[in-house]
Parts: sequence; structure tokens; C-alpha cells
Amino acid sequence: MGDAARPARKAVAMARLSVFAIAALPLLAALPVMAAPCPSPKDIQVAEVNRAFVQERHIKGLSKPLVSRGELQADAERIIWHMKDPFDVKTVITSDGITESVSGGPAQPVGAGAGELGASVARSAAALMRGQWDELSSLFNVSSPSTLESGEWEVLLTPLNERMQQAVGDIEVTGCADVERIEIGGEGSGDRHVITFANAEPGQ
Amino acid sequence: MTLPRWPALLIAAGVLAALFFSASRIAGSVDTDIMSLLPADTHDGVLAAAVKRANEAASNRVSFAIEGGSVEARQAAREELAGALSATGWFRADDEEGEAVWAYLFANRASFLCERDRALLEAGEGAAIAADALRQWYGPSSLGFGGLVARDPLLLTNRLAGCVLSVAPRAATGGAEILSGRIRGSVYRLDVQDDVARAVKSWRETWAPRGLTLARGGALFHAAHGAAQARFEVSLIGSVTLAALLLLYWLMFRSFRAPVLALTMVASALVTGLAVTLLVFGSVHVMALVFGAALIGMIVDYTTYYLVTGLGDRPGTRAERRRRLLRPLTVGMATSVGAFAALLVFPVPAFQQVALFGMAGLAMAWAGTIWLVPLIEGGSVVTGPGAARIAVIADKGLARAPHPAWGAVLAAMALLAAFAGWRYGAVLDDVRGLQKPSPILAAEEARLRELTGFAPSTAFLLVRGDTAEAAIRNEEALIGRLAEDDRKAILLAASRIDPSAQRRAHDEALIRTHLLGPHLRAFIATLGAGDAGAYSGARETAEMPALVQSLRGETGGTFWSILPVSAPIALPVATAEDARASWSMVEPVALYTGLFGDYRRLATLAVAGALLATALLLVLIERRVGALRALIPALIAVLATPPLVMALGIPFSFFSAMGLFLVVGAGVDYAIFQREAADANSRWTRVGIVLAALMTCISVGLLGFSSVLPVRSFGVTVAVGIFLSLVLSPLARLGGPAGSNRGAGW
Repeated sequence: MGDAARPARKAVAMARLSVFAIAALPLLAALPVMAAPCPSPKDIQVAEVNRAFVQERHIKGLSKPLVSRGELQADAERIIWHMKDPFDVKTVITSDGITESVSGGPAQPVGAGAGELGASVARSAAALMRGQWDELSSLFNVSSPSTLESGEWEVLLTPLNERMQQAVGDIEVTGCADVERIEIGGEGSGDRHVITFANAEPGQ
Repeated sequence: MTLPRWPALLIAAGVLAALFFSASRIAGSVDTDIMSLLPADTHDGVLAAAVKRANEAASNRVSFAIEGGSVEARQAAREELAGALSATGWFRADDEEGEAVWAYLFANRASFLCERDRALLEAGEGAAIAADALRQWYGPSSLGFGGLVARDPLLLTNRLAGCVLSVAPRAATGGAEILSGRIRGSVYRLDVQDDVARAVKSWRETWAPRGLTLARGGALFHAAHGAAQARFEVSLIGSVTLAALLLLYWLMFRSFRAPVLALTMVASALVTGLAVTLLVFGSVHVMALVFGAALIGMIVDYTTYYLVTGLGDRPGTRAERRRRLLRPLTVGMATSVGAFAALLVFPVPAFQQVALFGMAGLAMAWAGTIWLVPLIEGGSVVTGPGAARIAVIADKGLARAPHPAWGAVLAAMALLAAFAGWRYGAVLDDVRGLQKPSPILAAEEARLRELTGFAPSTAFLLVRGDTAEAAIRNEEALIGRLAEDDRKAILLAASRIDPSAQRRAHDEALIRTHLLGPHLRAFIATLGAGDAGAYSGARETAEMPALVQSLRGETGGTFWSILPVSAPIALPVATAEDARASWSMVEPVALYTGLFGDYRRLATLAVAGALLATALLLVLIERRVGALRALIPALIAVLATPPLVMALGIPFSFFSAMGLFLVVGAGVDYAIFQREAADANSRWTRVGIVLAALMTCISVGLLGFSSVLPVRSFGVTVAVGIFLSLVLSPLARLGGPAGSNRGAGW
């Protein structure tokens, strides 16, 4: 298969491994909420998360970033990544797998990338959604929080898995009272994903 | 008169050659699969090959669930287990297999379609596929899709993978880490089992103290459990038999040379039987080995018969003793070999092995007893206390020739019992009842099923064709004709990964005309990609996944494929359009159960055949019909044993019928020696019969304690049958004067 397989293998590896990062998002979003001005991100335990997000995907080969907006909800049982713009797609991740519903339609099991992909997501999600920092540490090498000039803190997550590290790269998380920005990738794949959070607004 | 030494040297050289040959071949050649006991169905070679392939595919799967501890610990433990198993060289994780499938699908992403997408494009709805791809690019699971921008922006590979692998078991759930994969090699090979067991044991030593547990699933572990149990039981039976032999021989002959001789003959005969079996079959089934342990009882009889010629006041010279023994032992050996030869007609390799093992072992025991034992024994035996005691008992119980009326009465009772057993007794053909799994493994597998929600099924669809391409087309036709729910029951179909040329051409045209042509340019413009030539490059190739080959085969010019299903489904009737299509639903458990039933009946008939063969041999050798009297004890024993064993709570099965072969062989031997016991040494000949029967009952009777029903049923049947043959052996002298039987003609 030679070179022709390379993009595919890489895609598989990345798709498989990137789910760790996706699954980590709710926990990261749940981290800090305590004392002003910017508390340590490790001091917070939040049982439920409900945050609006804007995601920018800077993918090599695309002339413009893919921008989407929506809402992230998470609790101990499941993660809901609800993209509302430019499409209405609700992705629900539980320990049993992944379902997707388009434009309010019925939830369909996600088979793309095989059950393997969904199972990987579920595996990470099931572990992470217990809301324990230790669980996050089992997937990433978590740096000590550093303070930026703006006063916000920044935590660097380095995947423990070497292949994930190669495919996705590091994950930078910044915030203050809440997680405000997550940047994934850069070095490994050439792709970069930036997610910024805001407090969810009713009806959004 | 001196005995020639060259035959003894020849025999010794043969035994040594057999020993070296067996030692060099035995490693990895012991088959413990109960399925090997099943016939290679001679009526339908394709079906037999397909069942074998499906068994291999199913049996080679292994899976593990790691629970307990923290997520971190479980993940690290999973990595370590995967690494340790891979290091054995036998294990290939599904992750690797999945990548190979993905690489293949990627290379063929614009060549064929899923059933769902084919329907979409045939309906002219290519826009739906493009829209779905665009949503995926924005969705959360597209994080690693960057590499696909230039090569597969429509994410066709993902769509194919979704169809092909949609039924894969969940890789993780409920706080457990799941590791699954395939064993590359027969899971019934002891070296494979040992290597995997070592890896698991080492893993447990590391992780169990940290609170992690491991649930295992797969035929490999059941096979390993069965093999360990078989090894234990074989060694236990062998050890106890040998201990009993030593004790009895010392009590009988007051000689340590005697048991050593007997042991030497047992070892020589078993090694010869093993070597011949390995030479002819290349492997030996554990059933043949267990049978070998049971055969000790018969083999040692021959040495015993020679040794008892040395008892009494006037034993005579070695040559005289051998001459006295030569005829009855030769007749006994010939009739026993003839009885075992009847097993060769079975198209079951394991039982052909048993036949060959028995025939070769008995022939060697005979040759050794006639040519080797007299030279080594050297007249060292004396009449021991055990011999004297048994002689008294035998004089009371076996010396008298019964009145012919007794023979008729016993025969009538045996017939009545046989009828009652046939009419009311319990029989067992269900393969699930024949092999009881380890409760620990059964519990671990139940846990795995609970965690993954994946319940393996042995059922599959079998599709045939005159050519490889025709078989693929037939498979496609079958899938096309199934209802939606039935289609979903198909776990894997090779034609979904490697379709027919016809289907491929059709799909390529659909993709070109209904997807790429009208939608690709607009799609990449929307996505912001700079090139519309993603699917127009040179034809890409990738190695065909092993998965496809594992589902296809060819037997006798017929090409076939198997489609594992989660549950049996109703098949459509072939129409004129697919007139040459041939498909069927195969449920191996039902198939095996039916075959076990058929072969139980056939084996019972074969026992009758063995009795007939023995009768013919007796008449041919003796040249008078009166020789058939030697068959009466064995005949009654064979009739009466099954109902008696059923009364003990052991159902009659194929394996019970197989045990009756040993009853025929040994029973006829006793009768022959009973008829021989007419001269001054007659009482010592009877002692030999009793001792022989005692040894057989001890060695084979111990099989009755086996946890494996086939072995248990075999052992108890033989023990009961041998006992009956012994107590009925005086019937061989029907019509002769009490205590004087030379008139029988030997």
C-alpha cells in the first residue's frame, strides 16, 4: 500500500486518539470556578457543565478555518456536544457508545470509523466523566498551572500515549474562573483546533 | 532348544526408533479439540470445510476485560497485557487488524459502496452523502481528519468502515478495559496455550495485587483447561495403574523383574502406538492418548499371560512356555486387532487414530511377549501369595463349564436388558452436554458478554458458487434479497469488503455519476479545499485483509463463503435470476448433535461388525464353527453393559459405543484363554485371566472419575464390560466337561 496508506493510517490513529482530547473537554471546562481573581484550576470539582462554545478548526489544506458554534453539556453519565451552527448536530457520548442526531432527528448510532472510534470515545468519556482530576492525569501529563501576563492560568496537557502525541500534539488550556480557551494540536498534524467557551445563554 | 535372538533385537531396535520418532514429533502435536472427534462429513465436503473454517475463526478469537483499580491502572495494564501477548508471537490485537482493514478500504474508497449508500446513489441522492460529510468535518469526531482533505474529503472511507465493522463489539465499557484479538495458530496447540497462559499469569502476578481483575474469553482458554485436565488425568491414571501393577505383580510372582518387564512392554507398546499414529496422521488426539492409558490394561495382559506360564510346579523351559502361549495369544491379538480395525471405517480422524494406536500397540505387545519377554524374564518368577489366592478364587468361580441352559438364560437376560436400555435408557448426543466448561471460565465469559454486549454465535450462512466470482455474486444476491432486519444479523460478509467485479463496476459508476461528478467540486469549494482531484489519481492498491480470506474457501472445485450471523435467519428462496445461487443456514451445534447421534448409531453397528469380524477370524483360524463359543461371553457382555452403565446414571453416547470395542477385544481374549485352560497349567491360566481383567478394570475404571463425560463414559463402559466378560468367560467352554476343556479345539 505504501504511501497511499499513510494518510489513512494517520487519520485512523488521529481519529482514534483524538477522542481522548474531546473527552477531556468537559472536565477542563468544569475545572475552575473558585476564588477570584484566578483560582488554581485543580481546586474545583464541578458535577455538571453547561457551556457555549465556538470552535475553529484550522486544517492543513483548507483555505479557511471551519467555524462552528454550539453548546457543551456534561454530567457524570454523558457528554453532549451540540453543534448548532452551521449545522444542527447533537452528538451524545456515553459509556455505551455514541449517537448522533441531525436537525432534531432520531438519534442514530455512530458507525463511521467503525465501532472502534465510538468505543474509544466512550472509553475515555466513561473515565473522565467521573469528574476526577486523577482520571485526566491518566491520559495526559498535566503541567503545573502557569500564570499568564493577563493573570489567567494556563495548563499544558501532553498526551501520555506516544502516538497520540505525534498525531494530535499538546493541548493548551487557559482560563481564569472558568476554562476559556482550549487549543489542540499544532506540531504533530499541522492542524490546529481552538475552542473558546462562554457561559451558556438560555435559549442559545 | 534355544530361542533365536535376532527377532528380539529387531523388536528392541523398532521400539527405540519409535521412541526417538515420538519424542521428536510429540511437541505441539496433541490435539485437544473435541470437535476433532467429529467426522469430516463425507456427504458434503463443502459443508464440512465451512464448519471447520467457522470453528477456526470463532475459536481463534480471544478477549479480555480488565476491571478494578483506577482508569490509569487499567489502561497501563491493558497496554502491558497487549504487549506481553503480542510478544508471544501468537496474538494479533484487533487494533492492528482494524488498521489493515482501514488501509484496504481507503485504497478502495471510490470503488465500492455500502448497501445503504448504494441505495442512496441509485436514488440519485448523492447530495445526502456530501451533506453528511460536511457535517462530519465540523463535528467533534473529525479532529484527526486533516490528512483526508486531499485524499478523501467526502470521507468515503469512514462510511465504508461504518458498514463493514458496524457490529464490532464495544472496545470498552462500564469502567472496564477490553482487549480483543486473534490467535495466529491453532488454539489447541499446547505450546500456544502455554505461551499465552504464561503471559496471562505474569500479568496477574503484576496487577492482581493492585486490585485489578481479568476476565478471559475464547476457546483457547477452554482448550488449555481441557488439556491441563487431560494431562492430569492421563498422568493420574497412568501412575495409579503402574502402582497397582507393581503391587499386584509382586504379590503374584514375587519378582521385581516381572513388573519391570511388564512396564517395559507397556512402554514399548504405547510408544509404538504413538509413533505409528504420529507417522500416519502427523498429530495425535488427546482421546487417543487417554485410550492409550486405557490400553495399558490390555497390553499388560500379554506379559501376564506369559508370566503365568512360569507358575506352578512344572513350568517348563522358555521355549516350551512360549510355545504354549503362541497360539492363544496370536489368536487373541488377531481378533483384537480385527475388532479395532473396524474403527478404521469411521471418517473421524481421532477414532482412526485410536484404532491405529490400539492395533500397533497390541501388535507390538504381542511381538514383544513372544520374542522379547522370554529372553529377558529368564525364569525368575515364582508362585506368590497373590497367585495362590487368586488361583483358589478362580478355581471356584471360573473353572467349571456351565450347563448350556445357563448360557441361554444369560443371553436372554442380556437381550432383555439391551432392549430395555434401547427403549428406556438415556442417550446423549448434544455436543453441549458432552463437554462441561470450567465454571471459572464460564463466569469470566459471562462477565465479558455483560460488559461488551457481544454474544458470539456459531451460526453462519454458507454460500456456494462454481467459481470464486460466482460465489461472491451469490453472496451479494443473498444479502440483497434479505429483509433489513435479517441483513443486520449478518456480522461479517466478505463481499462487503471485496465485492464482485460486476458490483465493483456498478458502484464505481454510481460514485462517479451520482456523487463525484455532480457534487465533489461544489463540496470542496464549500469546505475550502483547493483541489477536486482527490479521487482521480492512479488506482490505489492495498493488501486484502486477512479477514476476507478467513471467510472464503474452495473445496473440490466449489467456491464458498461463510457469513457469521448473530442469530439464525430465514433465507429467501432462490429465484430464476439467481438460479445457480446456493445458500443455506448452518447451525454447527445442531449439526454436531445430529452427527453425534448418527455416529452413536453407526458405532453401535460397528461393534456388531467387530463381533462379526472376530467371529470370522475365529472360524478361519479354527476352521470349525465350534470356535464361535469363544464369542459368547463378549457378546453377552456387549449386550448387557450399556443398560447397566445407563442404570449407573451415565447416558449412552458415541463414546460408550467406542468403549465396547475394548470389551470385544479383551472379552474374546479371556474366552480364548479359558478354552485353552485344559492342561496341567490350567489353573494358572485362569489366574492370568483374572489378573488381566483386574488390571484392565483398575486402569480403565479410573477413567470413570474423569471430569470429561466422553472419557468417563468410555471408562465405565469398559470396566463394566470387562468385568462381565471375566465372570462370563466360563461360557466359552459351554458343552465341554467341567475342568477339562481341551475338546474346544486349541
